[in-house]
Amino acid sequence: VAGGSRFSVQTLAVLAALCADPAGWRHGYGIARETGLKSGSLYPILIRLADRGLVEARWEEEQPAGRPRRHLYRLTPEGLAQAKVALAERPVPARARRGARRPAGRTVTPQGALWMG
Amino acid sequence: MTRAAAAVLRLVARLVPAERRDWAHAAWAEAGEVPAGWRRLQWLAGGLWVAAGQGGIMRRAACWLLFGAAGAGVVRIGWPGAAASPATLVNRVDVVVILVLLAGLPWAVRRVFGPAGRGALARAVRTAGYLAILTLAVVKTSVERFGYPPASGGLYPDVVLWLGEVIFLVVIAAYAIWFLAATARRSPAAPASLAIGTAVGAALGAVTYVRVNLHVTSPRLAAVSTAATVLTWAVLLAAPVAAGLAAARRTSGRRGRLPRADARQGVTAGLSAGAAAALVFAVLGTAAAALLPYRAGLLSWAYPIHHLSHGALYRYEVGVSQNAAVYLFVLLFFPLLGAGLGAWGGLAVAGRPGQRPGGGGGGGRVPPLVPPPGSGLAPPEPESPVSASRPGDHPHPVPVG
Repeated sequence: VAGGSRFSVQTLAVLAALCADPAGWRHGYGIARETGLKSGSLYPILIRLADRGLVEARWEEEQPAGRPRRHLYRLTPEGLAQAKVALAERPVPARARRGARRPAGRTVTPQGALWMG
Repeated sequence: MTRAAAAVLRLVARLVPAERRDWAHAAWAEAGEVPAGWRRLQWLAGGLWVAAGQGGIMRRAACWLLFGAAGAGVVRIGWPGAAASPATLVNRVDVVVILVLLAGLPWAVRRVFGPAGRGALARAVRTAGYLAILTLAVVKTSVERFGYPPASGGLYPDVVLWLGEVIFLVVIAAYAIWFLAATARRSPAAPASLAIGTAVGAALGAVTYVRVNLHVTSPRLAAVSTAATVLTWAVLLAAPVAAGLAAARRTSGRRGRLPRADARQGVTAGLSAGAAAALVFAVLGTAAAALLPYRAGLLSWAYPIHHLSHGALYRYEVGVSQNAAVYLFVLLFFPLLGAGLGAWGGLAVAGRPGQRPGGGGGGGRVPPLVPPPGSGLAPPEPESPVSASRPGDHPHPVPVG
């Protein structure tokens, strides 16, 4: 758990990834690449967020050629509001306080997620 | 390797409950996006871990291992015996039928009452019930072996022996069904009724056992003994009423709740109390008989005041067999008595507001989850569809692909 937030660092990373494009639907592997989380960590987080009503999920509507339909996720309005609060309240790492530059690109590791939002 | 892992994940996903299956399928569906090789294998392994966790597969495997080990112990103790003794066949029938019942009944009960409850209470009561039944089976086989020695050819005719056996097995099946139904997700018993009833019953069984087996030898303490007997009977009759009353008060609270709902929770609490009391009493009593020394010399050593002849030992054997009939009667009678008295207790609070709203039993509404203070999470609205759903329902259903 990061600081006083009830979300873990990994959960904050997932929230940050979903917050980057709140209207868009993201698929699991895309979030995993962005956060650096393995499937065994990512899905339990998504499940917990969905159980709390912070994330909604659906399957791709059309059957793509050559691959199965993917499961898609995005924040609910409640989830977006809570994610913004949680990301704003997250503790700022010492490096950031000293004026360290943000990592380049959109690749966000669980640690990197602390710099986002 | 990755193909095999994908196939296993797809197979395991089928074992995951319907409301959670999408997550396992999601991990499988997106494996194709992951670069082939080690990374895809890692992805699939993670998906397998998630599917196993969501499906409770690890826990189920652990339960089956535990049951297998306990069953092996029951077979090891209950199966051996002299071919000439009628007890040997009785014991073997007991062992086989009880193990088959305990292994097969969960599937049958699941069709009516749903899968096992998710809470620790449901799991604890179910496990304790199974352990008590298996323990009773083990100690009963030991006592049967002693009560029907090959030399005597048995104390009762075969017809009586087998009639008692059939009744015993039917009663054990009823107990197993009750423990499975009461701890299922669509249980007729509210968690409070189950907890109160079982706790009261276990204590009641122990108290009754102590009183029944505590004999006062001094004439000066005769009055104390009589008082203890009266007190035990009073507790025996009052405890199920109190359990039914407490359960109904604990689970009532909704306006317009029908008195029969309170009575139903009273019945389930009383039934739990009666069943737990009877099992504890029967297990303690039969175990004590099974663990006592069976040789006259050893009995004389254990009780040096009374010199025990072989004739006395035979009378003791007869006593043990008669006790078995008493325990069978207790197993039959206690739950019925408990259910009746519990219903009375439940009806006593019918229509009165309870102490804790929303804790109704079967079909009752589950109280909404309230986030801890300072969490930043807003409490759910009282009548939202999420809070009104059953515990197993997914608040955000997703279409199955």
